[in-house]
Amino acid sequence: MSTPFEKDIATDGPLFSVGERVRVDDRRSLGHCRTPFYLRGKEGEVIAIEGPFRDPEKLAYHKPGLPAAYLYRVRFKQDEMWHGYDGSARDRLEADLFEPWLQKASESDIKGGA
Amino acid sequence: MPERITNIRKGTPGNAVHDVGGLDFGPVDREEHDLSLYEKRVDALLMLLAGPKNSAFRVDALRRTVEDYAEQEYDGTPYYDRWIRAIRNLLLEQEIVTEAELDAKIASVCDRLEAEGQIVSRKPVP
Repeated sequence: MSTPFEKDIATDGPLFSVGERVRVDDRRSLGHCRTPFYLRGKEGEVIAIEGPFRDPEKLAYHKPGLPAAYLYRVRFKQDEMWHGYDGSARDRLEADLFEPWLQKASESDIKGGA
Repeated sequence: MPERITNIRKGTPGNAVHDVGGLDFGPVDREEHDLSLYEKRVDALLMLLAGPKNSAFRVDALRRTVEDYAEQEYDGTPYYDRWIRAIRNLLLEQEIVTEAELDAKIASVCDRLEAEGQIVSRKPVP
């Protein structure tokens, strides 16, 4: 029973690029999931493409985790995340998120000056 | 176990006992301790089972199993105890050991430790 690790996983290229604004899906997970609740529906900026990885939502149930999913590092503004945030307006939070949980932020989503 | 506002998670969608980011659990306990032999052994066991050589399960399955705990059990179980219980559950789930084999082994270890004069708990572990 051998499961190959992060080698030879073919994928199409990443859907998002560095600098792009993305919105985290505000949906419920049906099982194992690595996307925290506090980020759902929030908007951030892709700051790195970590690469394709086997999908943890499938690996958790002993499946091969394919097709692989791109993992991105996304940066969020802390004061857009929490009600009554009293830290610096420059505070940021970075999270690693898989592509199936991200959408392109639509124009109407993008707040002025964000 | 620190006092916690546990009912807050009942309002969160889904079954996510671990997903507590942003909820009010008070200050983070930053106290560190040296790992005990037991904790190192649990860690080693996980590495051996989840590593590419054995591939009994992936670490993702360990997380899923730990996160399946009920709220009270999750909060009341120390970190490495959660791991070893999840490892046990996954070994059963993957049919690598049977419950009968596990019970027999635990009983024989308890017998040996008692013969050495140690106090042993035979309470079943959830």
